Amino acid sequence: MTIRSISLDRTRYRVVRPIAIAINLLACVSLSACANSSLPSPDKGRLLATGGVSQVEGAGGSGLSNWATITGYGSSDSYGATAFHTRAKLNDFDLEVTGAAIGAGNRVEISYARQTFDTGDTGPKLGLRQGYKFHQDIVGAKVRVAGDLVFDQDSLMPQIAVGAQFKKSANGDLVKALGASSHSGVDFYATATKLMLDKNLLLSASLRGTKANQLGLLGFGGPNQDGYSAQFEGSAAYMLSRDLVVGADYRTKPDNLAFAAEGDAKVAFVAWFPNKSLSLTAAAVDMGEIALQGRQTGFYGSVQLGF
Amino acid sequence: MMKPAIQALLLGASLTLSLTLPLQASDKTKSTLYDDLGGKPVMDKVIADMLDLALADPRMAPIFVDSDMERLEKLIIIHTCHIADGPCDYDGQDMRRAHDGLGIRTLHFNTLVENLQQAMDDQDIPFRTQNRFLARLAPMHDDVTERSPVPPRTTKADSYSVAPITRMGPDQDPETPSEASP
Repeated sequence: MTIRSISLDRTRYRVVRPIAIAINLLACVSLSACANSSLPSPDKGRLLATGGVSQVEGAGGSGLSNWATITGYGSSDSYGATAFHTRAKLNDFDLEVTGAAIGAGNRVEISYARQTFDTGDTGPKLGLRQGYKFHQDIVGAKVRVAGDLVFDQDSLMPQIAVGAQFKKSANGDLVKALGASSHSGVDFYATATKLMLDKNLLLSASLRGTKANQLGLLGFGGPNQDGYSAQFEGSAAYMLSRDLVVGADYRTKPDNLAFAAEGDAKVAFVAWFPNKSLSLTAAAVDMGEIALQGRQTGFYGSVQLGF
Repeated sequence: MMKPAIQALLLGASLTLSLTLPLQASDKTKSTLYDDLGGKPVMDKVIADMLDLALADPRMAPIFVDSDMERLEKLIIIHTCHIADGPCDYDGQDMRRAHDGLGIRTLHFNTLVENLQQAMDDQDIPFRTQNRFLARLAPMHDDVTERSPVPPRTTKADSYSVAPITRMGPDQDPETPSEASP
């Protein structure tokens, strides 16, 4: 076999294989043909914690930040899946997120999340009824386009991924009354994540093109700005041991709505990975100003199951 | 206005000193990664334990079916010593040729990493030192693993991970060594 044909094979493998796995998975899910199909069980062939946890929109990453990692532990020959629940208690609001994601061939990630933003006792202050809830559905797709988080330790090459998140608010009339131009929108992003294994350090940076107000819970676009703006999200994480990671996220957000200013969000977290089937995250969070109620700080807990 | 500037300079100077002094000291003693890992007595045991764990690991054992384990252990001991800047010269085959045809996939590579981590834990090698070592080994992945363009043929419809191993049967040259030297 010549070098040329080997590299062609490798390219073909990298592109074709994950697609084949993804099609297999889709067929399995949509036709309920898993039981007697040829779909193998996930191999969990990647190293502990290298899939990250589930970020606030359901993608693989850390609290607020989308990493270039593909969720779960499926190797390039296999797939993995995760399900998660996150509950944040802020000064005047509660945020809950529930979702699931599939990673195919350590290449493609498809995710779904539902966010519930509970105004609780603050509802009436905003002219809403007591305990009014905002909901948002998010479908995400992410593709790893270059680099390998773990194996590229002899160069500065990070793992790079691009993706999109399709978001739809369930409170269309209200978010439009608050000034949003639309109740749905699409975020586009590019993410680079670098693991420096010899320093136990992971750094991630992401650029996101978005119109979302408060992640999209308050709709998309508004009087201040109707188009896309480029926003940053980044993480630094330090491995204390193989199963324990501490870190921080920072995320900027647009300020599209006229009725209330929107500020940047920050998180400091500790995540524990007892095994490849479970991770637990506890974090302090500052979501910035939300809906005239001042800076919203608080805590959140997140549990992720891995399959 | 001068005072803070001078203070900052002094602080900077003392920081620079405190950062460079330990480095110079460690330069003099020439502590290599191999030393930090515990040197030959510890690392020989680590490699032996890693291979024992791998042989007992159902994900891994079939990879070594046709291997001369004693020879493999010696080769890996010398190679890892060399990689960790220890006093060893590895003169074995290059990694890609040595692993050609063995059907090693990412799953097997990472499983061996986990076996190695377990073996290093057992020798109480600090986590940070373990990862410095793993960072040197990680780039081997692309040379050691095979990536077929089509899903491997398999008689068992059970697992992708089993496939490359069963594929080894008819396709493999019976003489193929696991990690041969010239």
